[in-house]
Amino acid sequence: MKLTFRTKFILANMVVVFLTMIFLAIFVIQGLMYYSFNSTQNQLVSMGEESQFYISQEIKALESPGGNEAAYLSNALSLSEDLSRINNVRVLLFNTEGSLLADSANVDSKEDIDYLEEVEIALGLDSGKSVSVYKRVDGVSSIYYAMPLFIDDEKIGAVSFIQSMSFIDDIVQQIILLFMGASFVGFIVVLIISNVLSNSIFRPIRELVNSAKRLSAGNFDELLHYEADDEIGNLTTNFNKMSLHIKDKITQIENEKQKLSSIISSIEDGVIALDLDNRAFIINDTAREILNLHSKNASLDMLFDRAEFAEIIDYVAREHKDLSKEVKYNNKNLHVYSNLIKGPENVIGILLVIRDITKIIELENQQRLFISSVSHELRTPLTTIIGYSDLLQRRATENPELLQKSLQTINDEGKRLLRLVSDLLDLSTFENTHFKMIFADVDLNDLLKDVIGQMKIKSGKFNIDIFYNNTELPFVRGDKDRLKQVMINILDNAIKYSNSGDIIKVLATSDANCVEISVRDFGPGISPEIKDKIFDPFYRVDEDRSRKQGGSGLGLAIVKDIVERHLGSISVESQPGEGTMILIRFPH
Amino acid sequence: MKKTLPLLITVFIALLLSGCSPFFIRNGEPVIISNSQQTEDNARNTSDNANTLTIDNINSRLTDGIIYDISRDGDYLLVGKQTRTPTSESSETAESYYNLSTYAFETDQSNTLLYSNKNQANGLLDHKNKGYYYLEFSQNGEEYDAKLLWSDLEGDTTKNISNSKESVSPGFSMIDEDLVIYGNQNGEIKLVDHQRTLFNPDGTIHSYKMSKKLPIVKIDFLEKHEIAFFTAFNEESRSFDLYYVYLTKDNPQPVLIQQNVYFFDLYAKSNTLLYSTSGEKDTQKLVRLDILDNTRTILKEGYIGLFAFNSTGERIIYSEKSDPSSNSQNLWFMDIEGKNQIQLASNLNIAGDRIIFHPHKSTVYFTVFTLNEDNSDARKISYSVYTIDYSTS
Repeated sequence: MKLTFRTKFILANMVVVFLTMIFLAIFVIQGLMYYSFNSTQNQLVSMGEESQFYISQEIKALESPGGNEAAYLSNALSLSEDLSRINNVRVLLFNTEGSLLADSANVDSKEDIDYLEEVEIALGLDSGKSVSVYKRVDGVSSIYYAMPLFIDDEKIGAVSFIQSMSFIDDIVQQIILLFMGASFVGFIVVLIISNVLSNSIFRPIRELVNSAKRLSAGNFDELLHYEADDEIGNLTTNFNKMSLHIKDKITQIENEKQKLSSIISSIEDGVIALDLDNRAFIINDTAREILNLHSKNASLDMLFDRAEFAEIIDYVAREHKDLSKEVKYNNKNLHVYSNLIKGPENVIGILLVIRDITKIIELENQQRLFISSVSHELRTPLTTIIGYSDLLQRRATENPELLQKSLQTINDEGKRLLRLVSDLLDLSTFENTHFKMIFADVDLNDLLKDVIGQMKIKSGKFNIDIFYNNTELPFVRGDKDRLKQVMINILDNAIKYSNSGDIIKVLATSDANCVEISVRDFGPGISPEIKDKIFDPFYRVDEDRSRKQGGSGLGLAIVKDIVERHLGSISVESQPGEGTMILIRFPH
Repeated sequence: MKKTLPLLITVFIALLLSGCSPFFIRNGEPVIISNSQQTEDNARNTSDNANTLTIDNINSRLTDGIIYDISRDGDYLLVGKQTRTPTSESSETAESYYNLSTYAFETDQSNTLLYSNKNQANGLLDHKNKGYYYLEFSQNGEEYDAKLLWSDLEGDTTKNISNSKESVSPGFSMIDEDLVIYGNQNGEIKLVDHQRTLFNPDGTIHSYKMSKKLPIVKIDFLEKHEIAFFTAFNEESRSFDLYYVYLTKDNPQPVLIQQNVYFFDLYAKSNTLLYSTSGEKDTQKLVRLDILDNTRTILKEGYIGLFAFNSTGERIIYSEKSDPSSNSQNLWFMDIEGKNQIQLASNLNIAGDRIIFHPHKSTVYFTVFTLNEDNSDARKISYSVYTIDYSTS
């Protein structure tokens, strides 16, 4: 049976009262017995002395011719009766042999009073001494007192008193009943008072319990109030301190956790920490992003289902070594680094650091393609130059026409090589983040007129005309030379992909936010699948046409780079057979 | 809890059972007691007491009657005895009265001094004039009047000392062989010069009417300082109180010494007064008053009966009941400081208020009574003179 602390408190009080009453009763009873015994004994001693004197007095008053002893023997009964009347006690007189001479009481007693041990002892004592013995006969307590009788140093016998102590027995019984009654009343009183007091005593404890519950539920703001300076007060104070301390610690932990979470979230790589049961206790947003774990149905089990990840985790867990590996996951190239998470004493999990290297791979691929294209582009004119050089070396003097043609070809290829290198350098320069453009307010209208004027010279050679229309154009912030280059490259491209007799339309308009320049040609057009690739370096829609006209394949890549550096945008609209329009927007 | 509960129950039962039996008192084992270590009463008679007293002889019934005085030579006692007066011819029954008698030690004979049909009491022997003073009581309705008379030892001459209009206080005193002092119910103090009264018929009774009327019960006189000490009934407090008064004026003013005092004894030679007053509950305090210093010393507290200075004033004898409901009294000696108490008698029915010391021997005389139901006399109480011969060392 479970007892509450309050119940135990009340029961303990009742037990204390009960034991106290018992001890009090024992103390009182024993004290009363001892005191009564001593008091009665003292009275008997006094009686004995008085009786000794009285007997001596009465014997002398008799002036018996037979002597004191004879007078005593013959008057023992009257003496015992007188003494009994005087002292209100049973008096026995004995001779020097110890034989009973007179008994003041006429009672039948089971006890053999003809022979009493104390009388025998008393007859052997000197004057001034007596003997006392406590006896309990038939359930009644008595004190048996005896002393020798002397008259003028002559021992004549002994006197004995039998003092009943039954009154003590009665009192003890009464005391027991009283204490039983008092105990019962005490129980009731203690029960009531303990009940009342325990409410106020245990209220702060109950509040402590409730506060502890709230504390365990995470509420650290409530503090207990208890004014008294006692143990409960100390407990309350320390509890409040503990609560505040816990709150501070949890706040610190929360802050640290937040910092850690922020740090982990700030890491550009995906971080996943797995415990020993392969449950993730840390997973940052980057990891979710990379592994596409945003949806509710997504879980890390999908990850472990993949053999690549399972192998990595298994290896690290088994070999206790770190591992770096590139894996393919959902069309992404991921670099995964894994290692054990070691605690102070043991391994607590496995760490996975995942980096999306898809773009890096693409970039590498682009670089490879670029280098391959550059190499190819460089190799081609160099091969031509070397070829014609060799030819000239072998046959230049024999055929002047061949010589001229070879030299022309070498010159053309050399120029082409120079353009290619220049464009490469431009592209490299533009892609260099440290390259600075000089921004100033540029009048696009003047710029376009200037560029169109220049390009008309080239377009005129191919019987292509350029028309320019514009509205009122605001100034834009830009690098004038680079913007010129943009328009030159676009018009150059348009000229390249126009046929003889075609026209090129240039239109410049503006609205509230931007300036829009469009360059429309009526060439062959670009199919939708490849039109976005025209801005990739070295990409040529028509290889032959581009090579014939000396294109490097970098023009539109440069254009796009410069436009984007001007915070603008470039797009292309084209349909095969319907020409191409390149649209540029610049903010103003 | 499971282990504690049986233990608690066992302890409880053990305590309960043992609590009723005495722990500190051995059953059936005799214990030798040295009486001197025990009671206060025993302490009075310890061997450490500087003086020891030996009872040499006791006569529990020297003669019948109430003792009043002893002759200067110690040859006879003045005793009040119950006597039958000669009946008149018209009376069929004899009546008994207490008349004064003498008792001669040598002859063991009593001799009625003066037969009277009135009770005579409180006699005092006038050694110089060979007579005695006494009170004669007569019944006046429900009240008793007392007259002070003087009579010679032969019974030939009787003189009225007090006048017929006054009722004399029971306790008059002989100051010396010429001077007697008495009081009356009217609050008057009479100082009687015996010689002048006899040979000067006009008499030299000096009367002092106190400023406050106090019915005098007992009176004595410290002649050299002219101070009278008396007990009187105070109507206001309804008690018997002790007073003193200077008899230097005719209308002296009494001064209260102590309330609730009925009896006192004056020892003029040492200017000391002994009186008893009420103490705690029913007890009395025996107090010694040094008159000149006005210092009071409580000598004893208990159920005090009679008390008196011995003839030399060095000791005090007193009686004390051991039980207030009992008639029995013990008789004790002590010094004037209340110490060195020695028991003289035990459990005697002492009567009266006089203890007489023999002028030459260590003998005391006092009155005891016995209740005799089969007494042939109508009165069931009989008085006798008890005498104790003692010696001290």
